[in-house]
Amino acid sequence: MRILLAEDDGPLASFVSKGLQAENYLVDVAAAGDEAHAMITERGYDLIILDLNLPHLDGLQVLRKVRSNGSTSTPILVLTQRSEVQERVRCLDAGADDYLTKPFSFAELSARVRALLRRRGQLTESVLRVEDLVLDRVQRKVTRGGRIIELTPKEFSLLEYLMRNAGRRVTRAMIMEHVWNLAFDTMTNVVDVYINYLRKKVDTSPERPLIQTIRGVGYQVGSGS
Amino acid sequence: MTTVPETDFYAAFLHELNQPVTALRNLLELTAYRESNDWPAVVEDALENVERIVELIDLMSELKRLERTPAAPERVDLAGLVREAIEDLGIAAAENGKQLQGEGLAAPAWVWVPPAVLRPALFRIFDDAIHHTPSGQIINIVLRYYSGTARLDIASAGMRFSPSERETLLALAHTSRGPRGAVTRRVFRLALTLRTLALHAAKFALSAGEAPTATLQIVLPVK
Repeated sequence: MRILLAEDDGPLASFVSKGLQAENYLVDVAAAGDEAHAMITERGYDLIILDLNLPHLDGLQVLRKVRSNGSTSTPILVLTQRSEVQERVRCLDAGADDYLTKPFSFAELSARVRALLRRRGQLTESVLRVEDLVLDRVQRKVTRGGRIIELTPKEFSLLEYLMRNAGRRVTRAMIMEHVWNLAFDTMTNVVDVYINYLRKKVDTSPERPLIQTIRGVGYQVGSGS
Repeated sequence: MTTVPETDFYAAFLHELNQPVTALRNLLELTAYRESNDWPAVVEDALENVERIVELIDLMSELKRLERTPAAPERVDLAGLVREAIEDLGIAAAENGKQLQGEGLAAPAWVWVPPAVLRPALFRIFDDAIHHTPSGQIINIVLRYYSGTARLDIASAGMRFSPSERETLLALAHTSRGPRGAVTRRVFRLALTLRTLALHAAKFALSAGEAPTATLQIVLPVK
């Protein structure tokens, strides 16, 4: 998988690039908007990570040029500043597939990259499987080893999010944002409580637990690849 | 009358920011200059401090954005949002030996506030109340209509503040200016949350009822 990272901040570009390379992606870096646009038109990328504050041609202009071409359906992840909500809206309207606000954690960037790369396949995938755990999004049904598991709507959403990111670490903040649609650092242990409820229903056999706690990070369903 | 020097969110923000940055700096310096076999613990501590800094930036960014351009109000069911928050956070409260209960929530209660501001604010306020309420006690949330407004009372021992904290909290929430002095992390966070509602016509009061309970009142416009 080849990724273009358009970011003019050298240290940040280096850090992100190394992190993605460690996850076996091929990464090209562009430090200016015009350079990024030229690279996108010359080479095929599986995903583009686009900072909005680029010299020469800003990120939004690059985005509009790429999408106006019509031939490029490559997923684009935009990096924005936290306070610029209108800018984020403009980016999504202009054809960005997702955005991430700075300062971001690499774990979240990595998760969003994976999600975007899998999205087209995932959209048609109504059934998620991790070992013998099966979640049917259409029928809203969960089974493990053929045994039906009754979940509340919130537990179902939580398990679905974990299974969509199977084999990968997700932080409590990511869970709060994606399952509760809330971006704040809760002082109560609401995420841990829901995870424990889920564990009691899903991991009834202690020999084969699927929901793992990752110290200092969060949780993971299934083993990493 | 002497003018009392005031503090504001930006002064409190810088004070709050100093603490995790100092902790992070010390943690990394100490780790760099000594042999350590416990890197996971160091990283965990460092990440906690980074999360705290990010949260502060988030809160201040949100406030700055809303001060510049308040969000558009909509007709939104306050009772429904409160029920949702109680259902989600009540489980966490119960696990910690606390009870979150609501009254007056059966019928819709339409208020005129941006839902994107109201919903996270309610979750943050309830989250704060649960966290600061001692185990074995109740957080009682009551919704009432009063002369063209909706009033939400959050009563619990966790809502009890010292007189100076109360003064600072309400002043910061209503005007973004408070009396000069140190602002605790809790007062800062809660005042920021209330301020986002105040920018959309909400008003607050903190009444100390019979000890140990105290009540935070949030009054919201109705349409």
